Amino acid sequence: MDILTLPFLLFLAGACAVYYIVPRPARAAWLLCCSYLFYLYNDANAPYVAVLLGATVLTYGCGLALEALKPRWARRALVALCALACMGGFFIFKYYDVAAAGLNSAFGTGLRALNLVQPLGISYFSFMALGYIIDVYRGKCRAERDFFYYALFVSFFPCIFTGPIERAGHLLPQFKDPPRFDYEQFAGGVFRILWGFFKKLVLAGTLATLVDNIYVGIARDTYPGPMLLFMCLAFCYQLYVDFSAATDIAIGAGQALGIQVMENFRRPLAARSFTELWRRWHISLTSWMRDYIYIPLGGNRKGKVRQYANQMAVFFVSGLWHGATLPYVVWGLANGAALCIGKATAPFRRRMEPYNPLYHFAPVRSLCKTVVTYLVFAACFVFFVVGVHGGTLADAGYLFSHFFTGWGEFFGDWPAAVKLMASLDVTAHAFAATVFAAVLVEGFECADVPVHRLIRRIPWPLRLVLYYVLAVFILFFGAFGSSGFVYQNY
Amino acid sequence: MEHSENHRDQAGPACRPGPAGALPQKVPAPASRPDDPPPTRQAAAAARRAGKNLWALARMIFVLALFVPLVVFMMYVNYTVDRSGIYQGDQYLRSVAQMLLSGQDITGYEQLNEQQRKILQILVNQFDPVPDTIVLGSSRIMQLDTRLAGLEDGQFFNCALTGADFYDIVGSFYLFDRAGKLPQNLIIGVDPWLFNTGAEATDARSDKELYAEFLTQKLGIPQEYEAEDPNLKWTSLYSPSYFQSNISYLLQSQGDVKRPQPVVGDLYNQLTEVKRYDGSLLYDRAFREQSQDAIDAAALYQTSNFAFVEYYTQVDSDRLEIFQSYLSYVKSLGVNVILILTPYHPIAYDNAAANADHYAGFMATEPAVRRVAAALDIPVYGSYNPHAIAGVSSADFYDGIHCRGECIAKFFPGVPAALENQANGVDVSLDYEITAEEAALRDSEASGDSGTEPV
Repeated sequence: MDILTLPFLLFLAGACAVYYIVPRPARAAWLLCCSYLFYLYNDANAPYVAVLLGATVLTYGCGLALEALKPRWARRALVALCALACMGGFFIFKYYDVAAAGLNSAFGTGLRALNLVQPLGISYFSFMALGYIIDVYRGKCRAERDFFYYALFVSFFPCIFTGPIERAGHLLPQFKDPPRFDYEQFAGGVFRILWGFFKKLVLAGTLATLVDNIYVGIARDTYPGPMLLFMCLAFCYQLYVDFSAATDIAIGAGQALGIQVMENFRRPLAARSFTELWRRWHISLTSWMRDYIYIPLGGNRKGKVRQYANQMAVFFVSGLWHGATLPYVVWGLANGAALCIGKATAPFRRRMEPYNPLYHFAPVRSLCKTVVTYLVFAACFVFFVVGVHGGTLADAGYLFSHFFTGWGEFFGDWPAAVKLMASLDVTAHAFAATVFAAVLVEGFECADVPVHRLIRRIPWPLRLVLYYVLAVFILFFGAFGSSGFVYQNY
Repeated sequence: MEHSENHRDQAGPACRPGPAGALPQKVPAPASRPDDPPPTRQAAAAARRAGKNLWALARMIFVLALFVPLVVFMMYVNYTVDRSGIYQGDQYLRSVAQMLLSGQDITGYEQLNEQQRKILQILVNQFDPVPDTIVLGSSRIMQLDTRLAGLEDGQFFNCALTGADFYDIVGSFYLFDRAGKLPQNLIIGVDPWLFNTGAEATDARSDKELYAEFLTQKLGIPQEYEAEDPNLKWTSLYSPSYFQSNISYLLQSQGDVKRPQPVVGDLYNQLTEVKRYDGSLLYDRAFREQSQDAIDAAALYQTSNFAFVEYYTQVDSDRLEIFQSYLSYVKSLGVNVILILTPYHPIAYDNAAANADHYAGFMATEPAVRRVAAALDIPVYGSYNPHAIAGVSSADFYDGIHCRGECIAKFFPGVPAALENQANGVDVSLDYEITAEEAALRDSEASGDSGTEPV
């Protein structure tokens, strides 16, 4: 079920209504039914419900067995086997065809492509289930005895579409002790959903049109450097609003049901360092990687070189998680390298700060740091934009080599530049609406409080005006019928 | 990414740590506890909760009620502007058909998209005499007009329907057959999705009843069929995308929401689509004059959701068999049949060819159609592969799936020439499996060696 459609809203309204009517002990069972209905809604997903169920049964049984087993070696072997099974399924659906094609072209192995369609949410529920097993193994979390609660944790419908990659320790207690209906919580959740719709349809939708249309021009060498640079800078923001909008809807849906879902973003693009940015970006995945890959590899406990190597390993895996193509892998490695370089040069940069005249004024210093961080991030995301559009490293090379060409012609012949911009299929009204939406989003999200809580602090007449403004903008400028969220493909 | 071992799980508090297997024993709760509130206080708390919930419900209803005017406004615009003509009456459709029959071009034809099948029904009943040549197909063949067909006015009518599916192709001919108004020549624009039985390739507007009647009455094949979607009318009323489309139509037509009407002024300078008197379609000026980049962008965009063939994994053999019986029946009535395969934009086709496993049904359609045509001695002009047709480039398209009339002229010589070719046994087949590289080589050889224009 596409979460941007009316059926989803009706489904959620029905789910909420029944959820608050049935007795509290039965609510988890109802949510489990809803989660599987959500999964089965699209015929294309129906055959793959077995994958979801299989992962659930396997990790549930494995969790119980881990508690029952005493010898350390047996527990380790069981975790390894379970991880292999979880990641094996993940690999087969996501990477097998690409790997087979690579092996065939390199070694002539003659492996046949399986042409499997990736099951909905496999990247999310596989990681959630695996995280649970490792937590049980480490004694951080007890194995869940009740299969239905566990099945709900793995399949919880707000999180299965684009995450966040939740933790058992966070969700399971909430399922077991559902709160009573609270209007403030419910209304906050509904607003968060509206906010997500606004961000996705008005902001991300128009930005996607701009980015996609400029990207097409690469093959024909249509657009000059300024527009290519604009595309790469805009893409980072598009991806952020697109993904965070999906998270807003997930959090809002959870909130409406009285379930707190973790935040996935904390204004990452306003970060003042690359480390800080990654601490705020896709928090559920980065914290998963930190807890289950980086720390087991030794984290920062084994010297600088090992720390950087671990960092690179984490980002390599992160790149692969996004896609089994070279641009994604290079994107991951580029981010890892930027982070390592940032950490290695931090002491030197701090020593040099007093000599930088711009850094004498705190606001200017903050702004400069934010801008530089954004630029580095956008440079890394050149590989990502290529990956999203199914391009190759040569396309990324084209972009890097053309960013600084054609500036004179572009600004020298303004009518031609305007004509070129007009070819991007975004009207002046839509563009103005996008700018307004960006200002509104940034204005609201700059507060250190989630928007669904912030909105409840605003006097109700102003709140209603805001609801109306968002609804009108969605109605007039929303990109309905556009493709779904970027991260639903991962 | 913060990688500090001391950093707590950001997902919130983890489960309480405890030794594996050491679960606390459940203690049965006592029937009543000394600090339980007395029943009266419990009842009061329950009443308070109920009151609170009622108050919450009232607030929800109030907030929802505030949005009602917005929804009503959207529905009002959708109903009154009605770009696709979903809510217009039949009387009006008869006048539209009459305008076409009297040789007038009609502007604002988008408003009749949802009503095209009804108009065709009216037209068939009113044709007198019936045109010599009719065209069946989807919007992909709508650019074929009298001039490209090499005929005179009145001899030709393009009966193609927007989004036509297999039911339309069969049902449209049956309209003529049932009315006893058979044309001499039938041109069918064969789209690849005709042999895709998936829901994606079935248009809610097509007349399944007509199709079933034809199969039962004429081919002797009893068929199950789905009923029309009765909800289409109502879902469009509250569709935001239809609302936006209506608003853009309002802006495009500068606030004039008059119903489709005869073209006034320069035919080629209209702000909306024009239905020509011969049934062919002239897109609005802005669409016709899009930049090449916008066209290529549209083609690229369409590759992410290839029209009606995204989940088309194999040619449906039953449907192919029905198609063969249908063609055989048409020929048995003495009607000359010509099949036309209009090409796809190179970006769209190359994407499908590069992902041949995913688009297996699409790629297998052309050979299957050619086999059927060869078995019945029916000529096939064109190809889905744009590289197969000499001189076709991305400039020959409006988007990923619709080619221009000039493109059709590059592979279709017109009805008289096609009939002559058939009479003389001229082989009009082409190498439809040719790649872009091979086509480039062919074109360079044709222009370099012979110095003549490709035929």
